[in-house]
Amino acid sequence: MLERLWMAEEEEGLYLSLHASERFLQIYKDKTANIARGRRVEIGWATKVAKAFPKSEIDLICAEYEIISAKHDLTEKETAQFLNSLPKLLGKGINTSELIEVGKDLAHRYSNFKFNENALKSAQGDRLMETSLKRYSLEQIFFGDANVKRKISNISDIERLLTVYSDIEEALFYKGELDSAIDKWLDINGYYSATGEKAKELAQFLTKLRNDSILSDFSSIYYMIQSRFTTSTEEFESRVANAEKGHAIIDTLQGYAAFDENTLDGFIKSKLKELLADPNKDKKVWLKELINEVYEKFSDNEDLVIEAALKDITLDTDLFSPIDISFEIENYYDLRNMTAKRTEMNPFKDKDAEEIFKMIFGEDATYELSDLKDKISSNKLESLIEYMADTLGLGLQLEDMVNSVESVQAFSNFIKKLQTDEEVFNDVYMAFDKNRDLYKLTNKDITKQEIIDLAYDFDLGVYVIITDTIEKRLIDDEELVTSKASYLKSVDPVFVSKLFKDEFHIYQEQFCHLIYSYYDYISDGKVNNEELNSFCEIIDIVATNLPNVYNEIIETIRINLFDEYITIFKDLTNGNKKSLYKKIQDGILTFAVGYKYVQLENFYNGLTPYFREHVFTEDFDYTEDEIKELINKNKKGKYKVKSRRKPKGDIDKKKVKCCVVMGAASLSFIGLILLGENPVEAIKSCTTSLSKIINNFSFSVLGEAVLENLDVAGYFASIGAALWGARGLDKMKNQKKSKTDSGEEEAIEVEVTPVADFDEDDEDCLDFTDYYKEQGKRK
Amino acid sequence: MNVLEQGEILELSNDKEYVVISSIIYQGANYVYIIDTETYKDYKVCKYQEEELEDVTDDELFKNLIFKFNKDLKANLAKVLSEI
Repeated sequence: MLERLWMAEEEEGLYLSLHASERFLQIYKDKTANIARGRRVEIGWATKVAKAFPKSEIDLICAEYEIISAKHDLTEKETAQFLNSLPKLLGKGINTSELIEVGKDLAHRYSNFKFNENALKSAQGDRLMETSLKRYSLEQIFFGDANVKRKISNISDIERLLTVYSDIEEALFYKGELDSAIDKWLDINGYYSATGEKAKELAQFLTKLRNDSILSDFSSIYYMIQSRFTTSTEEFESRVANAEKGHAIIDTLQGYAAFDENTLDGFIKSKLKELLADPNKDKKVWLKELINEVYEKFSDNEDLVIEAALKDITLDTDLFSPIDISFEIENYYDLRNMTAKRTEMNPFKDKDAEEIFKMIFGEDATYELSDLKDKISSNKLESLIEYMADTLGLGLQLEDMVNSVESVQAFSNFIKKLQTDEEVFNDVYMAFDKNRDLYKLTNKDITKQEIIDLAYDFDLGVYVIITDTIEKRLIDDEELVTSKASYLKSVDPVFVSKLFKDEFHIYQEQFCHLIYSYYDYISDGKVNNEELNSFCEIIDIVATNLPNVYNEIIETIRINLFDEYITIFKDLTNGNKKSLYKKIQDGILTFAVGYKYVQLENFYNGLTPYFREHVFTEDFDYTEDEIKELINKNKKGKYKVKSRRKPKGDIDKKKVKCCVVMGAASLSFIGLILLGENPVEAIKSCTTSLSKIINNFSFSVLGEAVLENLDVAGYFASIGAALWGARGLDKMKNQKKSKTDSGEEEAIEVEVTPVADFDEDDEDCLDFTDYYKEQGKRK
Repeated sequence: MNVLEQGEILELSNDKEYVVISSIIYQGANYVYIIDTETYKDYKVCKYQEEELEDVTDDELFKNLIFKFNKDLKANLAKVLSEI
């Protein structure tokens, strides 16, 4: 029976599970002990092997072995080499443990099969050399090939490659391909311009290559990579250290390419370098500006060529997705077409000021704005007038403008400007156009398509949608809803928020749709604080005016919104049904317990008044005042020193030099305050000193552009604020307001006791000005 | 005694980078005056012990230290800047 079963197994390709085999053998152990002893292990192995290989593959392996061993029995090493050739034979990846199982299986099938695990493992290097390096070019290995099956796509891949195969360096050089392969690999994977975690990953890899005892053999690869970025080893190492902190790799490892800004590609890369060097730069704004600049500067190129060059940005950095770039390019095209159309249709062209004025206000209009008041109102041109006031920098409201004689002159001047300044004209025409188009909406014959087209215009879209809602014509139209969502992506959130606030009572129903669309917009990508606050403001307005709608909306967005954009909710919103306020309370407690005062402060400051009112309720463990106190208290914290190093390279040295200069200046200021100097006087005194220092020092010596634009007085005011904040609220209670000559409250005076051992006779003790002056002259 | 040295660049657990402007031994402990490298506004007066910095919260000690740092800096400024 046992024999029959085994035969069936082999014929049908069936294998018993290990558990079933064990039981089977147990039952028959007395009768078939001898047979079973031999076959038991084989069944177990066979089961494992069967999981990884279909019977046809095992047959193929056996056939191959029989052919190879027909001439002579293979040695242990040859056997290992045979096993290592199996991936090639089967055309698929086989890991080491699977090879071991196959080896064991074959050892029981063939008495001459000299299987040795150690021999197999030692032959691994040969296998890779055979399968990857000798059989395939580095090009294939690094960038993927159908035969190689997988490509080297990340640091850990190359690291593993280097670690396991100790002779790879020589092999790679022998192949003469490493240089270009490494270059391409860095480029394609975006490591040249990598930022954040990616830059850190590369830096860590490089550090490992240099320091790790196993990888140190590959130092030439390290230097090969270094040569791509910089020529100085010292500078490179310092930059790697920076990159390990996740700074932009192009900033830290820059020097890899000198971009020719006269070429399309060089110009884009040079701009990209600027972006990566400044982590505070708004990347969306940067992209918009870049697109405008590129199309203007390289207008001789075809649109498609420029488009392709812009899309290549995604190869250099992971800051943008292809969709981001396409979206902005489309916006640019739209705007360009619109501008061209407007210019073409410029109704003010070749008109004198009076004619333009009459075109706007009517044939019977006069320059007497007071006479125009009713007309302006009835024509709904308030926004145009307000805009004009803003553009002229008059800071006037409509009322002021209408009643001001000077405004008449200003308005007249402005009209004249319209004819000469294209930019001003475009802006004003846009405002004018908006109102004119709103008029269109009162015309019942306007088509749906016209409304949709209008929705794509700047903030006009919101008006269109709302106006349309009033007319109840297209409320459920899918096309319009889609256009609305697309449109909202380009709308200034602050504007939307303001609009909601002003018009909410009229357009309640539509606002709900808009909020959903707006939420989609926020969900599309990272949202900045201003946008988030703006969104929260909208929610506040809804909550105050329409509690039922609010409940519905908030339930929908609650988990998603805060999951994505307020990190504290990450662990708290896994589908539970606690209220939003409870989550905010939990968040506050999380921060408070964790003494993460910076986050707590940001979080607290980010709460809108509406949320605050609902969060700091009686059932919450902390009052609002206690939270404020906690934030202040927790500022006196403890910090682990994660790393320390002496300055290396020019960047570090300049950094330290700037810190020492500024540190000495701020120390002087703090000292003066602690001595009881009036803060206003202290700021004046130190501002003068520091300004002199900065003026006397060459910036190339200091190396910090930030100092060029430093608001020195503001700087000392911040230092002072930090000093008072850090000394606690109790001290604040004893402070009194100090007034300037003009009577305005300007700063806080602090009551302090002079320090006993401070040598007050040494007038120069707190002033480093002379020192810097001398230094500056020498430089 | 493991002390921080003037001019050293530190990365703290708040993920910000600081430079040691002045480092002194006072009452048997290492006190440092550090300032952040981004804005130069985030200064700290801390006690350094076992790879940890602790803000000085005692007002009297704080005042004493400020003036000692000042004297130290006054004496060493030229050296620090020339060595960097």
